[in-house]
Formats: sequence, C-alpha cells, structure tokens
Amino acid sequence: MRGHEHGHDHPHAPITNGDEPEAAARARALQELLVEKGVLRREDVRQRIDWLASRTPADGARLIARAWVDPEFRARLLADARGAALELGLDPGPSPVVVAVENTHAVHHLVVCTLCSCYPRALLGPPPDWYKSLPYRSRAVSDPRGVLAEFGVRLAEDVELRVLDSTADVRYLVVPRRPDGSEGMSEDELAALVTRDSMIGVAEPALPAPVTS
Amino acid sequence: VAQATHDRGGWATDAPIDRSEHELADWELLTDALAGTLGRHGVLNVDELRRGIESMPPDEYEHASYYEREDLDREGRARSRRARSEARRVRYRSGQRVRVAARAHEGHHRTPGYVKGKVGYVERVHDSFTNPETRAYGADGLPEQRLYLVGFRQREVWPGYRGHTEDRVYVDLFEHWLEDVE
Repeated sequence: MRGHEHGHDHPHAPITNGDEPEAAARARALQELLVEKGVLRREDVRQRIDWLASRTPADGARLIARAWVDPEFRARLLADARGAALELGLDPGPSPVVVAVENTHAVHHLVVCTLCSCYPRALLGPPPDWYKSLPYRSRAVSDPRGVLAEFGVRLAEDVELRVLDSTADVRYLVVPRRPDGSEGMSEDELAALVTRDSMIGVAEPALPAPVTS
Repeated sequence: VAQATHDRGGWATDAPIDRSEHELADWELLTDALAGTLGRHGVLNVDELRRGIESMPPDEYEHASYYEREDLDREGRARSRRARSEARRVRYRSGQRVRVAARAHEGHHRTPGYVKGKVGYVERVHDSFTNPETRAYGADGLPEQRLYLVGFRQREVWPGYRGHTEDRVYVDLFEHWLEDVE
C-alpha cells in the first residue's frame, strides 16, 4: 500500500518548486478548497492553464504579417481586429474588445496600462514583467520618449507619439511598420520579424542580421 | 485629486525598468488560471479582483510581485448574475471636446488621476460595458456605460513635457466621467 493510507501522521512534503513565496501555497490551498466545495472542477483550472500556456506572440505576428502583404486584410484588421483574428483561425479571446493601431513614418503608438496590467493576452500571451512594473506604468505616460529610448527606440522629433492607456475593456495591439528592405520576403518570413515588443510599441521590427559564412 | 497607490501614471520615479524576461512559475500560472476560471464561472469578476488588489496597504502593494497581489480569497464570494442590458445611447461624438470630472473617488474606478480635470477630445466611440464601479462591489454593473477613447495633448497633461507638440496620451474613459466643454 502506498500513498495516504499508510496510517501514520508525518507531514507529506508538498510538490513545490523550492523557494516559493507564501502566495504559492495559498493558491494551491485555494484550488483544493474550491474543488472540494464543488465551485470549480480541477479540469476547468487545468484547461485554463493550458490555454494560458498556449498563448504566444506568434499569433499576433501572423496577423501583422498578413496585414503587411494584404492591404485589404490590413483594412479589416484596423476596422475589426477580432474579426480579422477569427478570419485567420486565431483565438482573439473572450469578451474584451481588441483594437489594432498602425505605426507609420509619421505616427508611433505605445501601449501601457497604468492602473494594472491590461494586455491583449489572447493574441500575445501573458504580458512581460516589465509591462506590469511600476516604473513602466509611471513613466510610459509622462515620459514615453524617455521610455522608448531606454528600450533602444529613438523616435525622430517629427514623429507623433501616441500613448494608449488601456484602462477599461479594450485591448490595444500595435501594427508595427514593415521594415525597409523586406520587400521580397514571404509572409512566414515576415511573421518571424514581428516581435512581442514591437506589438506593444517599445520596439521596431528589424531585418535579420546578415550571416557571414 | 490624490492618486491611489495602484493609479501609477505619471508618478515621479527615476527607477529603471527591469527588462529581464521571466517565465511564469507553476503557482503563477495556477493563480492566473484560478482567477480566470472563477471569472468564467461567475464567482469572482475582474473588477472584484482588482478592488481586492487595490485594497492592499500601499507598502505591500509596492513590494509584492505581480501574482502575490492576486490574493483570490481576499475577495471571492458566490453570487448570481443578471443578463446584460441593451447598449445605451451615445452622448459624445468623435472629435468632440470633453472634460474629465475632477472628482475624487474612494472606491474602485478606472479613471486615472493624471487626466482628472483635463480637457481632451473624443478619438473613438467604443461599445458600452458594465460599470466597474458597481461591479466591483457585488452588483451586476448595470446599466452599462458607454466607453470612449479620449485623447489629451501631452503638454497639457504634463507641464514639463518635452517632445512633439502633437504627442498625445489616449485613455479609455466611461461616459459618466466626462463633462461638456463650453
């Protein structure tokens, strides 16, 4: 006989990953309680974990690459990002509305959530830590050009910078500018140029560095 | 208007942005999934979750990691939900100038302090959504409130702003926070 029916009372070591904060034990205990009380099923939580873990910026990148090669799709993406995502067979997520905004030679967009961490997670995956950090949330609105410089993006003086603070039910996705010199590239090659950060607005897509052989 | 601890936009800070990447730990994914599943089951909505986070003592809020703030049993409780109401009429049109109410608000709300009292213009008229201010306290958030994307000139929001005169910050604001501009 193995497991819990061996009739003595030593505490079992829980399965953990070493140094975890108290919040980790609380989350696990809460799950046990919710399952025990019949509020949630363990499978529901597992499916949600799998859904979260399956979301990546690759989905957003597919939308952008298609918009770069297909002007009509680009127009549909800017008018209705949710519909455009569904058209490509992507999951735009539950209720919050997604709005796509386009960077050009004259206009650059940057996205922040100063109140918490709102982010188009269905299309980009979970937000990076820095996006949720207090310095980013403070300075992205008051000193966005300084923040961009910190990320290595130097905007020309005459480029209009638009910061979007996603405070409510809408999630913003930046359509970055297609890099010069990418004219001959295929849609898949283009998608590989689109980084997560470029869809938040803190980076610009670049061509791959030339390989010397 | 005083800003609550979580209302972070424009806080004076020279702290660098830590850009190191971080894979979510198991317990962080679990916490996220629990919050999401509780939301889908109508047990705990996102505004209740946020209200709980915003009720943390400021010092704890500032030092906790992201998922440490999501202490779900702080706010969780079961309740029933009513159906959504019809979308309401639109009071402001695209391009119209509006002022953000300068009122203080003790409870959960989604109007950042840095635009309170400022004048901007409607850039986009969104849909209507449930009101987070009542939804955070056990109510159903009805009637729904119209949401607008409002643009503000950076130079009018931050006195010392350097950069393009056309630089703007855009904020999603609910209709009941907007006032007519003469």
